[in-house]
Amino acid sequence: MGKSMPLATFSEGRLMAPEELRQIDIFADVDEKSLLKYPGAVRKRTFEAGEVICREGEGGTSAFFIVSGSARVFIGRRLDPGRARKPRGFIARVGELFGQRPLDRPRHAPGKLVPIDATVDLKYGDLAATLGPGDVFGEMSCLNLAPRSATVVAEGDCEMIEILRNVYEVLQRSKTFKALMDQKYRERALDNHLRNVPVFEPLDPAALLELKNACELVSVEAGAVIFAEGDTADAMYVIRVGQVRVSKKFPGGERQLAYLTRGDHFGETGLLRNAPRNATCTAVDHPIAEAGGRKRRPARVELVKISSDAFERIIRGYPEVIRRLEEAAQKRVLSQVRAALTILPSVPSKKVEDLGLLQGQNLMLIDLEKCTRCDQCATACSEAHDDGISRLIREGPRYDRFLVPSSCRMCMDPVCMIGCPVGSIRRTEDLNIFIEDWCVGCGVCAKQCPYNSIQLHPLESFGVEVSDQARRVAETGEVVEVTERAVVCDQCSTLPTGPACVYACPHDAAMRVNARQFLHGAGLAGDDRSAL
Amino acid sequence: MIRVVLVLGGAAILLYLWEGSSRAADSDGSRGATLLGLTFGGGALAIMLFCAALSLKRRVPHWRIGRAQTWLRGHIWLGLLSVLLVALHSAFHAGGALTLTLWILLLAVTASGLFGVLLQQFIPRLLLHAVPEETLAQQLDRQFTNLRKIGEQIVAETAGTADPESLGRTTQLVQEVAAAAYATSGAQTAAAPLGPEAMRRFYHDYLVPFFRGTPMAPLLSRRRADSLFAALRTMTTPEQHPHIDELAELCERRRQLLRQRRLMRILFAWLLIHVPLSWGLLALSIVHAAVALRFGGAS
Repeated sequence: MGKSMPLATFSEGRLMAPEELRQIDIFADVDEKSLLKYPGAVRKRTFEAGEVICREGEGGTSAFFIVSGSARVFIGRRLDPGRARKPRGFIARVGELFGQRPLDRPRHAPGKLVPIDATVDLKYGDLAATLGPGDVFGEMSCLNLAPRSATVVAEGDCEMIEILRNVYEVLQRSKTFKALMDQKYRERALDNHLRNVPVFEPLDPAALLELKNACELVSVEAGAVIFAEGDTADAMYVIRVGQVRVSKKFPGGERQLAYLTRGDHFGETGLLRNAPRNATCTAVDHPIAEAGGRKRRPARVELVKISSDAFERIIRGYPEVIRRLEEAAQKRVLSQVRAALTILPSVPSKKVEDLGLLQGQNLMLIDLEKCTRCDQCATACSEAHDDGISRLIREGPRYDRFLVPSSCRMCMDPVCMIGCPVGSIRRTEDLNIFIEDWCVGCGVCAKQCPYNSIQLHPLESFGVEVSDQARRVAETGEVVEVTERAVVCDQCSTLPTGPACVYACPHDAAMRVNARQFLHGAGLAGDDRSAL
Repeated sequence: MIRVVLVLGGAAILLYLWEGSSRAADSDGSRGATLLGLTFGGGALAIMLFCAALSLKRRVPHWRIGRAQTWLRGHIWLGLLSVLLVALHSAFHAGGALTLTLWILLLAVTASGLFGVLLQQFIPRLLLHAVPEETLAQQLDRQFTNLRKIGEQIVAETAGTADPESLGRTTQLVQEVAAAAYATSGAQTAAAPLGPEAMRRFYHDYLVPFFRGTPMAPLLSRRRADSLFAALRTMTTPEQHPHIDELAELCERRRQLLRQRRLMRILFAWLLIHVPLSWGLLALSIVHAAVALRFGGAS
């Protein structure tokens, strides 16, 4: 894997004729004319034990259906996302006396699932699973050119069918294929997805089974509104494939609250309170496919729907579930109140809009009339992180007398979260953007960020050598050639002093502000003073 | 911070005056050996140590030992207070060779520091307004190289590979036209368009020295550059004018970056005096204190 993200070649293996394809279950009810229309779009591939089928982070254009044999799917590296410096040596230990001990940052729950582009998810613990006959992987790469979300290595000799997008779209219309995929999902992933919903944790196996049986698998086209604010709450949802945007209307305009990905859930609080929906949920298309300008059907977002009747029937005997739901609902209301406070009624100037300043809930600004260019902010940033990498680049556009450097703004609409093939980028409760340690370095988030606030750094910057990686994936005997990792400003949330860049500025030039409140307060938001 | 310093300074002066009215000075006129004098001296030395600690604090900018801004303010205001304390400690006397040297060093450190504070008030504003294309200082050389390469590319695309040997007459023409244009403040001068040849020669005669950083290169002056580019336009076809505009813009960017480098050198140059003198002052002050305590004694 590298910066260029080379697309996997589709030249190996043997081309399959339509009559041969028809003998395979999933193609049984596919119209032969459709198959004839795309000759060369399906190949039969055989892999020997230990052979790499695809690598995490690489570009890909095809999906794989396993006919026989099994394959190991895994994310081959795990890098700490960089946190407040751990004590190193005498000086650092003295520093501990002055409050340098990092605060506890909420880590991922050990049971958390890592979503990948396959019919299974990976457990956070070992980030590995096995795929067998009937499993499919690489669907999102095939349909949306998403980077490969995991590395797949043949466990023994295995036979697979590699399918390009045009035929895969035909397949998706096949009832047999859909039934097979639904069955696979129910067998292999649904259980985990339901267990992943914190409020369902107290359910006993019997109740979970009942819930599982009551689930309906539905799909919506990207762009479609799943439910709108004010609608009657009639179901809750778990995301099976794709992403969902949660937004809410405020007096100053609509605001994106979150992007949810595979395994996430939404819509349950309305059910509990028997109240109208308090936000709008919309299916989101994949960003790469959108940007690529390819003529294609909008992606489909697949969901698990749990009707209000089933929901109420099952949770009735579980007061703990109800208590957890209440807590979750209260948290969401609080975060919505916080969001409402940042909306201002003023109309922003064009330059403010162009620079995306109002997106910033915690925008970094440097007052250039005070800044002596001493670079203490960037130095402090790199010093404050144990990987020694500065998240702050003291360059960027200017607005009035302020420099808007490249550093995470904690955008109101965190579009960087759209399209991560492994769901490793997320927003914490305090609105920080956080990249989990299973980032595969594909760079989708960096491309998505409109403000260049996410950087890709070579693995050497993290002190990772190939031998380390080799050790990690020794089980497969294959070295995953990953080269980069995404890095984003974490607002120094583990430091008691707050952002190190601001703390270290000797001239009161660096600041972190809520852009709307700051620019409005300074009379700059609606008044274009962009002559500089 | 300023209030604390004013109160401390005022109190020191009052104590000094009170002591002056109640007891006589030492034979050399100073009062360094009295308890109060030692207190003044010790206070000044402590402040010097604190001021020196700022450079150590910069090495651990994120340590939770106070905001950098507080440290800097303390450095400036307490540094000024130390001058007063030293003056009271010495009872405004120069003393011997060591103490005279200390005085000179202290005044030099203070003056250079104040000069630095002044620079830090004005130069950032200058940079803000005079260098809209400002970049990171570490990136300047790279930017210069990039600008040169873009310039070469524009000329190569517009005029092909340059061959300066065969274009002597053109050089002369360009210079003549430029001189005329300069004299008439950029007025158009009649000259036969020479097209690519003029571009190539202009590149070799003016752009290359400018991009190489030759001192006194004509394009270093914006006014001169404007008239030279105006002259070049008269010698080229209208199709080439947009490329000439691009070249002019590149030159302007380079001039801005050169200005940035100049201003940043000035912004930080005072530290070359202030820092070594400060360490010298601190070292000599410690020597002075040790010698005075060893051989002087407090009364």
